[in-house]
Parts: sequence; C-alpha cells; structure tokens
Amino acid sequence: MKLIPTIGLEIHAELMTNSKVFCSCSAAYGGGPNSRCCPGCSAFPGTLPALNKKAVELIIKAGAVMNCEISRFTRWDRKNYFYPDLPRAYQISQLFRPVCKNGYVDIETPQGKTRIKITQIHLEEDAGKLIHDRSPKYSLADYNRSGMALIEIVTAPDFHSAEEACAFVEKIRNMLRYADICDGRMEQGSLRCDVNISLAPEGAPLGVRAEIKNLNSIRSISRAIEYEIYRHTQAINNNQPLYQQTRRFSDATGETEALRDKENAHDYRYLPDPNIPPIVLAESEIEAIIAAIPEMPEKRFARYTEEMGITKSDAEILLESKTLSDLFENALKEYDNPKSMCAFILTELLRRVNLGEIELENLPFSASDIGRLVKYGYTDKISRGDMKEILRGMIEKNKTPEEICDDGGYWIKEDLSLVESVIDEVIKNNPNPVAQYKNGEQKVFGFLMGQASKALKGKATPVAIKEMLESKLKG
Amino acid sequence: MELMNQTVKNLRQSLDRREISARELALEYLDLIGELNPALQALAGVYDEGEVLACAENAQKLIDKGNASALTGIPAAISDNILTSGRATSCASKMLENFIPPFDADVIETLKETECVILGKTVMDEFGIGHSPKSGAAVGAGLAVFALGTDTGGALGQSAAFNGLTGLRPTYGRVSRFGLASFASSLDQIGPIAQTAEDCAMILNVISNPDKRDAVCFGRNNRGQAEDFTAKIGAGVKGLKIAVPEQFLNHQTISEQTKNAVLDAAKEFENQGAVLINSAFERASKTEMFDYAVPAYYIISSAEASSNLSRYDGVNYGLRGVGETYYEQIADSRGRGFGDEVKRRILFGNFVLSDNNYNNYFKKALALRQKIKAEYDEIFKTVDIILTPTLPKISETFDYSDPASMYHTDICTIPPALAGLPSASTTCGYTTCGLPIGMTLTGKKSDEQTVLQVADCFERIFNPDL
Repeated sequence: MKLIPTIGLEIHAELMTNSKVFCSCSAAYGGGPNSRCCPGCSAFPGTLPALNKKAVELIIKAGAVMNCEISRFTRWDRKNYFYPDLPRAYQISQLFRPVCKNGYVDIETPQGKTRIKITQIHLEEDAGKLIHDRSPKYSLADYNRSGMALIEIVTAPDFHSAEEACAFVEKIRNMLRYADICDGRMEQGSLRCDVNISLAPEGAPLGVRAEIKNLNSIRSISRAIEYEIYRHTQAINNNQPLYQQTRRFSDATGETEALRDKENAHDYRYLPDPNIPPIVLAESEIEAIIAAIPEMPEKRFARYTEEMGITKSDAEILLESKTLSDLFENALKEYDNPKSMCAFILTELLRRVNLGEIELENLPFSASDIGRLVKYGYTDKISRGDMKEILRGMIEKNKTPEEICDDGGYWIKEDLSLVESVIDEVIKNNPNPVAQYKNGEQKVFGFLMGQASKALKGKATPVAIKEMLESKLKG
Repeated sequence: MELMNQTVKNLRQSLDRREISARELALEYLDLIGELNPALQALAGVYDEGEVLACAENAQKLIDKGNASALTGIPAAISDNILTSGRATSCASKMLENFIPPFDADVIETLKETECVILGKTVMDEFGIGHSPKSGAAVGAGLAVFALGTDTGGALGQSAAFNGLTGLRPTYGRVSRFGLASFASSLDQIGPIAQTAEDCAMILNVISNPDKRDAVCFGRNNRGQAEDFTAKIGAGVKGLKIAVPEQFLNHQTISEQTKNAVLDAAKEFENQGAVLINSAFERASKTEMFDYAVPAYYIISSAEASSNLSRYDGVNYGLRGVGETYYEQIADSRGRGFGDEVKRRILFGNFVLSDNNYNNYFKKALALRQKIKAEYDEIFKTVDIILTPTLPKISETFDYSDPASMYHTDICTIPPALAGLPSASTTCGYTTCGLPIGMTLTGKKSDEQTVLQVADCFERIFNPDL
C-alpha cells in the first residue's frame, strides 16, 4: 500500500523592528538575562500594550511578497494559557481577523514546480525563554524575548515530501531577508517552524495528524519529517494506533517524542483584546507600504541576467544570499562593471569565505572597498594580477585597498614624460612602419605599440601608451 | 475649620486667599484620619505624616508663586487598584499584599505634578470586583476632600450614592487607564467621587489628558483641545431634553421610594425649564434592553477578568504558592491568593470563553452590547440626558449569599458602562430611615459637560449650602 504524506507548515518569523511589538524595549538579539524587559513585557499590573506600527508595516510587506490579500480591517485577540515564559498568561495574537490571508508561493524541486497556498499570516508576540539546566529544583525565566514581534505564516497542507517543505522554508527565508522583514537566523531562533503531518493511502481521507513543534534548522525540518513518515508508515502497516499529538524532535536522536495528546490539548479561550483598538488601513497606506518593499530576488535575477549580462548560474550564486547580492550591488556603485565585479566576488571573495578566513555576515571591509579594488584593477591603476594579494592584505591587516596599495607599492606609476620620450624614440627608430601607418596601413600600429610597451613594461598602462602613440602618429 | 462636606472649590479659594495653608489643611485631615479611620477602615493605607507634609509644603510653594491649579494642596484619597510608585498597591487582594509598584499610574503622575496631597489608598473590593461601597466611604466620612476611584459596571456612581456624594464615570477612554490594575479592560475607567458635580468637573479637568500608553485614551475633544468641564456649571437646565424612562422605573427591582425620589427630581428639572421626554425609551423597554444588559455585562466583564487576572500566577510577583510542578504551584498561589468572588468570576469567565460556550455566551453578549450602543444612539437623537436611579433600592444591609441577585443591583449603572457613556450620580432624596438615594444622569459620548451641568443644577436646589 502506497502511503502519501500530507504536510502543512507554520513558520514563526521574528520581525526586524527596533523595539518590541507592544512596548519600547530593544528587540535586539541577546543581552544579559532580563536586561531587555520592562514592566510592560513582564506583565506588571497596570501596564497596557502600545502597538509598534512598524510591525504592522512589516507584516503587510510579508503578505505582499507572498501574494496575500491584505485586510484593511485588522484586530487583536488574546490566546490564554498558563506557562512561566508567558508573563501575562495570554499571548496577544490574531485569530479572527489576521492581516494577511489567501496567498501563495511557488517552489521548485527536482520533481518540478509546485504552488503552495498560504492560508494566513498573522502578527503576534513572542514568549520569554526558560532555562532548565541550572538546577534540578527550579527553572530560570529570561523575558528579553518576551514581546518581540513575530509573524506566523500558516500554509495549506500542500506538501508531500520533506524536500518540498525544506525548499519552501528556504524560499520563505530568502524572501523575508530580501524584503528586510526577518533576518532568518534559524540558529538564533528568529525563524522557527512547526510541521503538521499525516499519512494516508492515495485518495483516502487524511490520516491522524502529528504536530512537530519548534524546528530550528532546515536539516531538523527534513529529519523530523523523514522520521515521522517512517513512524506513521510503521504504525499503519503494523495496524498500530496513531494519536493526534503534539511532538518534539530531538537533534541528538533524530527522533520525535510526544509532548501532549489531543485530550490534553489547550482550550485557549480566545477573546478580542480590548486594550488595542482595531486598525483600519486606507488602501493608499497599504499601497505606500507595498511600494517601499525592496527588490525581490526574482527581479534581481532578471536584471542581472538580462541587463548586466551575468550568466544564470552566476546570478543564482549571487542571489542565494541577500548579503552577497547587496554587496555586489553596493560595490557596483563604485565601479559599474557588473561582469568583472561578479567574477571577482564569486572567485576571490567567496574563496576567502569558503576557506573560513572571513564570514559573509561579518566582513572586515565594506562593499565600497571591494568596488574600488575592482575598479583599480580594471582601470589599470593596479595590476589585475595583484588584486588577490591586495584582498588578502585587506583581510589580514583590516585596511582599505588604498592603504594596502600604498604600503605594498601596488600602484602603477605613470610618468607621461617618460612615455613620450620612449614613444618618440620608437617613432625615430622605425621610420618604415611609421610611413606605412600614415599611408593607411593600420595593422602596423600593433607592431609600434608592442615596441613601446616592451620598453615601458610596468611603468605605464597600455591605455596611456596607446593614447600617446596615436596622438604622436597623427601629429 | 469644619472639614466635613468641604468642597474642592471652597478649599481652593481658602488656600488661594491664604485663609489656610496647605500644611494646616493636610494636618487637619491627618488628625481626622487618625481619629476616625481605625473604626471606619475606609483607608487601607495611610501615607506617612512626613511624606504628606512634604507634599503640602511643595503645594504651598506653587500657591505662593501663583502657579496653583485646581487640585494643588487639596487632600485626596486614591483607590488601591491605582498604582502608586514605591507605595503598596494591593488591589485589596492577598495576591498583591506586598506589591510595591515601580511606577505611577498616569493619573498619579498628574496629581503629583500639581502637588495634590495624597493621604492614602482607599479600601475596595478585591480588584474592584464586588458590591460594597468603595472609594466614596473615605470622602463621605470626611477623610479626604475627594477620591479617585475606578468603575467597571457602575461602582463610582453606586459608591457616591451610598455615601450621599457625587460620582462621575467619564466616557470610556477619557482618562488614561495606564497604571490601573485591570479588571475588565473594555469597561474600566477612572473617575472622581466628590461632594459636588462642580468638584467632579474641576477634578476631571486635571486628570483627563491624552496618554500614548493607553491606546484607547483620547483625553481631548475631537479638535485635539483640552476641554473645560466646568464650562456649563451653573448654567441651569433650561431647554435641555431629559428622558425619564417611566417603564423602566416600574421595573420589578426598583423600589417605590427610589422611583418616587427620581420622579420628584424629574419634576424639579421640569420646574427649572427642562423638557421631560418619556417616549424615548419605549423601544428600549420593549426590547428589555436593561434586562439583557446585566447578563451581557457579567459575561463580558468576567471573561475579560479571567484573562486579565491570569498574570497573577505567583511567578513574577505577588503571592507565591508551593507545589511539585508549575501547575501545582500556580494552583496553590491562585487558590490562596484570590477571594471567593474573584474566583467565581474567573470560573465564570473561563466557562463563557471555552470552546463549547464561546458562541452561546460570549459572542451573544458582544452582540447585545452592540445593540445596547445602537439603542442609546437612537435615544440620544432626541434627548440630551437620560435620568434613572443609581441603585434600584437602598438596603440597610448587604446580603452576599445570593450573588445573582446582587448582580441585579447593577441594573441601572451597567447599560451606560457597556455603551462607554459618561454618567454621574448625585443624591436626589433620602429613604425613610435617612439613607441617601442616588440618581444617575447619563449623557452622550464625550458629553460630560452636560451630565455635570444637569447634576449641578439639581445640587444647587437640593443642597444650596454646598
């Protein structure tokens, strides 16, 4: 019997807001325990939520890039449950009137293209963090994360393999990064994924569903799904019962274990939050927010390949990471030569990254430094062969390309009077070719150029020699 | 100086004319508190003499510089669910017995800026949930010139009525709720209890300010300006249209004495030139608006309370219970920390919000609330003010044994609270055994001016000495 897995995802993405969603505490990652919380996000009596408008802007952008309908009327609900990481004992979320719904995202796997439907995207707040390993007797609570702005992206059960699910999460992560919505750092928990999965024979009604909570890497998503497919298949083939459960995946064992059954499922007792008035957005406001979305990867791909003449495979490598693509774009502002820039970045710069000498997210130089370095190489201010050496100097000494060129004497020095005297000499010593050239035999120019270049090797750029020679021959 | 029944207005004049200093005034009140409060227990926490006098000295400096505002140097009491930085704020709950807030409520910040002299915190029902006379007791006993109390389903008006005072529930959102420990967030509002409507107007002028920390607070009128709520004080009621819902006055819960006192007041308004309109309530009476308002209120307020009070789990602050697991520990914290009435509302709130009951109870209550609002909109197309009793009957004792019948004593004050409308209660008569009977004047949204104007008109006739 062939069993078909049916999978839906819930992706939580932390928004790149400066402050938390309902108070003015910093939303930066890290910080000492409870150093980024206030009476508001630790739920003191008398405190009230004050909505961060930036969060609404970002979820509208998320909805737009995922082809959702954006609601002009949106409202907040309380999801009530007791847990020590949730100081108010309710999470402010959106059940009834989410900001975005009915969208889609197309993904591509080796099996082909698939359209994944987005059921809804809503805004909510994150909970704090509990630390259990300090003592067997107590747990510690850190509320730095409490109240950070999150969006939850809920998909339809449109996936049928781990591969599709992973392709989707990667695509979403990239889109969120390009639109400056979420930094997508799964290892820091700023992007997390819940998997809903069930298996059933083809054409049969859906099977018993398991929900795997809080997967924080693409690899664990893949492993958790593969394990669940195995577990469900075993149970179905051996006629063992399956239960509707919430489960947890362990990276160490590669297996999932039950957290709670449906019978013990929470009744969240949702109610509209009376403290936050509903938001009514004008069409023009929504349009203005959408218009400000940065260029998405598909558009950049078209621009790179069609306007800049970069090969498709090179464009794909550049676009895999927004940081790299941004670096490329910013470097072009210094020197608009996309092919040369792309070549240098993909070979020399990425080589350093791959060797582990530098990290893409934390480069010791700016995009403008790279742009100028490539410009010097391709405009003969320095020898192209020296660029690799100069880049290494920039990394090792943490200096600008100009400083490295100064220190290492990489600049090509042009002494125009020397060029002139050498060319005069060449013209004097080669009367026949000069006469031929003046009679219209253009091909002898190369011979004269070669003579001059040989005499001026390393002391002048070919451009300078060519210009001087041409003007002398015309004169 | 005879302090009993002193108004903010009179004391303001005495202070500004240097007939009495802020220090002398504060000392007089501290003496009275020392004498009477041990027996009355109207104040749960009295501030240190040193602290009170220091504030009075600062007030005097403002007065001497000519920078006094309406409440500078005026002794006041504050309900104990309004947070006072560094001062215990227990909400009358064992749960918060030792809770010292690290910040002030918005209204406290404002009172401190103007050097209003806070004497202490008043007793109250746990988290404002219950039916005993509250902030009004301290003012009624003369332990403070006025009090700031909180109102969810009519507590300010009822407390004023019990104590023969004037209480104003402002329009929902008029006064910032920042620093008010929530009971039912869509209904909670802070307001004054004082001797007169004019005092209430003076106090509202000070405490109604825009506050970004409370998203529902508007503070100002729709032109963004501060309003002067004393503007229509003394203007009389000539030409004003006052609705007297006679059908409602015949409601089974309303006593003859109360009904007659309210009808007498209506007659007095007519004598003063007001136009009485009885027909405005016909439809509302037919649809039993008032009967449905009480259950709708208890469903909504209990649902919100169950959620608002969930934060009291003993983890971050407040009473911490014991237990092997987190759930055992919070069960113990909450079991011991909350009183019976609060527990009853939490259980009721959880019941109406649970998966199986949401549509049958909570959703219907929300729909009823919308109907009630719409009904008021309709009534206010033809009238300026609605006159009702404040309490259906005045009892000399309280019977706590039957909560449901206690809930029905809110039948007069709940409908305006559900609709977020401003209402004031003032005394309109006395029972045969001499207890005050209160009437409630309800106005259009944001029209506190007219509400206070009508209450003031009656007070000038009924109690010309004040």
